[in-house]
Amino acid sequence: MSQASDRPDVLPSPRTLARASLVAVGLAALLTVGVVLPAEAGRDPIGLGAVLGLTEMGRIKVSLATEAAANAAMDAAGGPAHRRNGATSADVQASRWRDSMTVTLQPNQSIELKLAMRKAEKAYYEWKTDGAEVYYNTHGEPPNPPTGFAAHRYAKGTATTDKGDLVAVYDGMHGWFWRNRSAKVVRVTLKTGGEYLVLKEMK
Amino acid sequence: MHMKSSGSVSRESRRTQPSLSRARTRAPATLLAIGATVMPAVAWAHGVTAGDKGYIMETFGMRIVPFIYLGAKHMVTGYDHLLFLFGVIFYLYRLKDIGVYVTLFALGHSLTLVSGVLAEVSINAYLIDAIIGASVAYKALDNLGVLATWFGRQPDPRAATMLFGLCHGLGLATKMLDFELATDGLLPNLIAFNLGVEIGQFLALCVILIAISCWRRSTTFVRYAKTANVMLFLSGVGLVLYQLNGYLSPAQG
Repeated sequence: MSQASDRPDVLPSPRTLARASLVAVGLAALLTVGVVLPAEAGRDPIGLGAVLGLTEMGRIKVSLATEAAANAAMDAAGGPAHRRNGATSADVQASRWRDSMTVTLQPNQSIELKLAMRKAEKAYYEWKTDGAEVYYNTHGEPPNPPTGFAAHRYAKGTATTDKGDLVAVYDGMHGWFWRNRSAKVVRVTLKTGGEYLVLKEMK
Repeated sequence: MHMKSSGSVSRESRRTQPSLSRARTRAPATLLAIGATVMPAVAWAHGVTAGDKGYIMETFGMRIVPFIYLGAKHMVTGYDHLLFLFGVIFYLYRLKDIGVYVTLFALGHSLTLVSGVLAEVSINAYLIDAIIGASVAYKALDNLGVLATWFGRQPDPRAATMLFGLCHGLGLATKMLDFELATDGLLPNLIAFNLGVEIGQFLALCVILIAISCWRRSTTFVRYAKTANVMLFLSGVGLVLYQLNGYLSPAQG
């Protein structure tokens, strides 16, 4: 661009600049407290985050971060005892269902139940909650996946129930991740049948 | 032992919420950025994916304000986009010119961001980030007048800004695809993200403009303008090398 013809006489005055700087600092402070804090930390001191719907994002991020840190600590410690939440194997119907499991999830708690399957085996399932919606992610992974392995996703969403078939894309563990995103305790009951070796809770 | 399902079973398979899944994980390309926008993906076997990606993976449907926020955050914390903008407006004094160039840049990256995500154009994140680094170096050379010397005349800076805008948009699209968006609410979320990118760009531009205007009033501007652009050039080259290193390192797979 023709730099020579760009005359500095269009420079804003020091007064204008000072005013612009003040406005910018004020706006930055407002955005930090009213937008960034709710969206990143789930804290909402002036209530703007709730109005914009950003506080939920912060809360989810904080709970995920806490959980990730807990998992990392558990891995570092050799990985025992993921708190078991009253999973009971019971109520196996004499019909087509082979297994049934009921798990109890506290608010924000998550759990994984999976089927050991060989490639192309086909299992069928049905799960439902006792009321509240849960976040679910139906996925599978091979045995001992390398760090950072991206699991195969069959489905995800938020629902009170889901049913269908699961055809294993490879040898490994295939099943369900649920997280209780409601404020009260929720029970999830899973029934499975078809071709698989065993149903178990992942730790 | 396992039992065969006895023929009677033909349940309809309900596949709610299919997603634009990307079976791709990589080391964070944005390690340099404080408040990096994408946390390293954590395999499901070990539980959770944290950060913005974790949030997006655990939610679905139309979420306008959160996606505006994420778009703006991406721009404001995207040092490579900001360096390029800084280079573009370095010698622009009139607001009208700034408006023209920034609009061209925005037009470019909006086009590739939206179409890239919708068409699932997936380019290696390191390569596209290297190209974005190159755009910073290019603009610095342009500001230094080197390009005019090399080519006999200055390449059209408007066309270059638009062209690099297209590249920056592909980078944004790659980031968005990495978020594994649910198809439910994809288009409104995408438009919201794009709107957020423009808002973030506007906010960042205001800060850059105030800073550079203050500097222009001082005599040091004339004295150090060249130095600043040399440093800008070196930053661009640094970004290219950093990203290419990431691309070529074996961990990338």
